[in-house]
Amino acid sequence: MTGYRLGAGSDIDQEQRVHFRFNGKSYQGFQGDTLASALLASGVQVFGRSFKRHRPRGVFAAGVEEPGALVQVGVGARTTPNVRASRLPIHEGLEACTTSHWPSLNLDLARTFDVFSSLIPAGFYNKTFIWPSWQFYEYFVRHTAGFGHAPRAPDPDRYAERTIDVDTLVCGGGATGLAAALEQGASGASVLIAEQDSRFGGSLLSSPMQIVDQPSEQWLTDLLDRIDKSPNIEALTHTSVSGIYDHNLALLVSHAIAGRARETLLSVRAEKIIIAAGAIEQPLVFEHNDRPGIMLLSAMQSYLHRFGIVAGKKIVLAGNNDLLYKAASDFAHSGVSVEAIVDSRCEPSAPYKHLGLTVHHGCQVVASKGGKSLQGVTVTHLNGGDLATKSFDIACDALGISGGMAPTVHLACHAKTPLAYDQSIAAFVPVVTGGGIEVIGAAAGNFDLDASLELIASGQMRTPVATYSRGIGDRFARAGNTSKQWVDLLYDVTIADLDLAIRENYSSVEHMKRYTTNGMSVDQGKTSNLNALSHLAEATERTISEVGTTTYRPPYTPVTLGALVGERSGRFYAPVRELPMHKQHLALGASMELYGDWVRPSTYLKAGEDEASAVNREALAVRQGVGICDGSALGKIEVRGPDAAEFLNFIYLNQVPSLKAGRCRYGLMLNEQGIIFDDGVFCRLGKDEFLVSTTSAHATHVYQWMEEWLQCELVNMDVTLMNATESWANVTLAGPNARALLGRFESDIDLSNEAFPFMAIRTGQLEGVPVRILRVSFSGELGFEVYVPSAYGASLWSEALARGADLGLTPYGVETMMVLRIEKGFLHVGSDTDGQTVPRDVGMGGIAARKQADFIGKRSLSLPNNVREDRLELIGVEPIDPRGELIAGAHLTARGEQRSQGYVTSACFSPTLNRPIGLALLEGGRGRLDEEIDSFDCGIRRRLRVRSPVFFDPEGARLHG
Amino acid sequence: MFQIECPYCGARDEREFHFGGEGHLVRPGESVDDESWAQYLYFRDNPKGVHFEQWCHRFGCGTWFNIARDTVTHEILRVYPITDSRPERKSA
Ligand SMILES: [Zn+2]
Repeated sequence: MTGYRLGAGSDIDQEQRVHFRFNGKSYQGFQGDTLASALLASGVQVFGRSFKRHRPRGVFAAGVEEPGALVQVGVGARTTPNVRASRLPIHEGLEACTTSHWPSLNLDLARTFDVFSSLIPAGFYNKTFIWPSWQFYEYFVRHTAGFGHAPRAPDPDRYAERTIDVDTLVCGGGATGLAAALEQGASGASVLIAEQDSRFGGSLLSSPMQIVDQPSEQWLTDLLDRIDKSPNIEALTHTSVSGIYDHNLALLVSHAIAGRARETLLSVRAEKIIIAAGAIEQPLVFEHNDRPGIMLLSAMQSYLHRFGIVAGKKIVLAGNNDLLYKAASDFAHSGVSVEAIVDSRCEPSAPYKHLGLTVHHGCQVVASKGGKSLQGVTVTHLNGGDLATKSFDIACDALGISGGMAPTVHLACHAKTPLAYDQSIAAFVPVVTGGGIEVIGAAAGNFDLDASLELIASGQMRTPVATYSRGIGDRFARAGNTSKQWVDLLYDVTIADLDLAIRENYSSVEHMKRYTTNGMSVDQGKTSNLNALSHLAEATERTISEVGTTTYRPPYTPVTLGALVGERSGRFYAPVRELPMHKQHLALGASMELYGDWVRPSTYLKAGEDEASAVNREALAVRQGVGICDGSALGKIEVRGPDAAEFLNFIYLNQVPSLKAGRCRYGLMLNEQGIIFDDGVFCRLGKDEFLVSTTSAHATHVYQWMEEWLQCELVNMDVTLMNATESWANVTLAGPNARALLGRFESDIDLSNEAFPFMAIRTGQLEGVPVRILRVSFSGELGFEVYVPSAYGASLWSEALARGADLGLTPYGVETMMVLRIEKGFLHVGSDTDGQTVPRDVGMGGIAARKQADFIGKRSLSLPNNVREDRLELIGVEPIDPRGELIAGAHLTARGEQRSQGYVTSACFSPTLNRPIGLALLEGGRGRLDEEIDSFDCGIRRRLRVRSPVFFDPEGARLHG
Repeated sequence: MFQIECPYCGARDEREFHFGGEGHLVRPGESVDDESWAQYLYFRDNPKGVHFEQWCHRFGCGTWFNIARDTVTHEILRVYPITDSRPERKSA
């Protein structure tokens, strides 16, 4: 093609030059140009290679339907693949390059694919790469396939999100969309119009006409002026409706909204959605219809009117409808004469006689001629459906083709609007059924703009279909080599491929699509689906209605992941919770890690220590002196009301009503399947008042779970729940010196062993601050959990550190806490239990059996699977060699056997015992104490001994002390 | 994404809600046989058409309630309190 700039275009400002680079070469265009228009004006013909056969591809369209000119834009972290050149505005310094070629555009090794094209028919990938293996071919395929590459660095840009509620959303800012928006807005309703293009006007921009005896430019200016003056109408260009979802939710991606965001995702919920998405011109199918220089007629007009570009020196127009004559007349107005028109219909079109055009009626283009660029077309007479044997050539360097317009039905399909095939326009139209969706104008198959506007003005949105004034002819050439007749230009699907699929019985529309990949590329078949269906129908002697259509799903055009992710990346991916003593931990040099959604100290590393030695030091300090730990992440749920005891008795496996005020009890919660779901201590503060302590990870879940049971099942119980987890800080003191340290604080609570025994709770004040103290222990040592309002947590922590220095007070983190509890065999739900663990498996079957009242999961405990003898049971394990290794997650087998009988659930090095120890779930484990078994991990067997899970202080003397 | 009418807060986006599965399940007493208990635990209605289900306005008022929803069109036919009995399929 030898395109050139004729003069002014409505999109460009010829005063402002813009410099950019394409494939490393410098070019210039004007402000307002797209990459496609600027390159066409510079005479560039080849924009890329097709996906499979790597054939040269030029600019085929001027809009989102572009199947050929896909480019890679930008460099470094901002580089973007798959960008349609026809949609990319140029700016100073823009860098772009072609994509589907390797190693370079002109020396494309994979071009050999085309030479051997008969070897890569439909289903090629499915059939070929099986032997010897896919990996054998992967390197070559990965290098030659695809449309560019993803950036290697993290995305440096920001993306915004906006949620909008409107009365009416209008999808498409062409003539009918704008008119409908004004009509809807007249009553004061809020209206949002979204237009994917850079300007409003739709097809009027590419093909100006008279509207109501007025030039369309003037009509459009007046309309936009009125919209501008309507405060209730928001009009956005550069904004694409990517999908319509349930209950009239539309997702829009906008590049128009000013600010620091590269793209904005708009979630729009509308009472009514008016789809005014226009129509997309369909191509003709003939031999070598993929040659650069061949483009849609509508694209030729768009480049002419919007960018002042003429596609070639010698232009031929070919098609099956009256749009040919409108285009020829547009060219004539610009002083460009068209060489010839090839119209597959037999009857001449009267209104265009005066143009003095050479028109070949009843003729088809059956082939294009040339190499990388177009040099001519071969035309043959159609004779009652058959082709005459004699054909003739017309020399040309640009061919505009029109197979008629097909309504853009995609959005209507997203909204589940059924489609019907309309013979009069040879395309599908949506059959609107209500539900807050309307389709108007060309999107509804109504190509008579005056008629559409009249209906809109009368408040009637649903429009009957208008036909082309002289009907529509054939889109398929009736002669030629079908393996050179392209249907899908992007994925290289030809008529021969479709025929092969049909021969191999992939003749259902869904099968054919997937087998041939027709319409499956980034353009989603905007210019290929209809022709494929038409051919399938004809070849299988069915009607198109019988063949049906594949489903159009969102997104309408590709959406960047950035737009969908918005601000939810990096540290904004999920909320992170900080403890009340967060700053104190940082000041002590703690290594902070994420446990659930809490950032907590794992250990407090001292100079020269690694994590293992820090854990050992901290654990020994707790056993020998006193440790301090931030337990604030533990869940704290307050349960109040006359039925509080009865409610908790249903929630817990354990007896609740018998618990006396001021006392605590350890309990398990089960789900209805009998599986252990959470554990912790519950405390009775008064007759009708309880405090439930949950695991840190499950606090929110347990609270929601209790609410669900209360609201949905135990509806007659008078109970109020409050999740007070973040209201209270928890400073845990553990170790033989814990009481001595706590005694250094002024308090009205008697800390003596007699007045304040193990598993008791006391409330009062500590240094004038309200306090709840629990005498419980997750370390096996004398322990106090001191709860103060969160705001006092930091000062209590700091004071304790100051007052406990001479008692050897040592801060310890989560990792140390885990070592201490493994030494004691204390359960950690989620580590030592899995999705099948019931109470009997962890030695709590007796409690369940003794409880009379019903509770969640009770009935499930007697199901046959839950009483099997060979169930996995929690036991302790240790390597027979004290210097050996113990790996959490390792499988357990009988000595020398293969079958897994369980696995190690927790493992650590015990500094107290100076050897590795662990907990495990083992088949019939409680009956196998002292047995020697094997662990198996990553191919390595290790010998272990089964032990009681309580490795340290089995009598519990220390925590009762 | 649905738009759901919370009985207390009005129409809100689905992302504020938690789906709680089929509604109107009757929890059997402890004395039922294994088969009936398993039915209650694991077997759910999966109609093409009206489905009765419970939802919680978790990131709102926290209320659980019932809805009747058409599983084909996703139209929400009725929103009613959690304690109400199951409506007739036709009148939903
Ligand atoms: Zn609510």
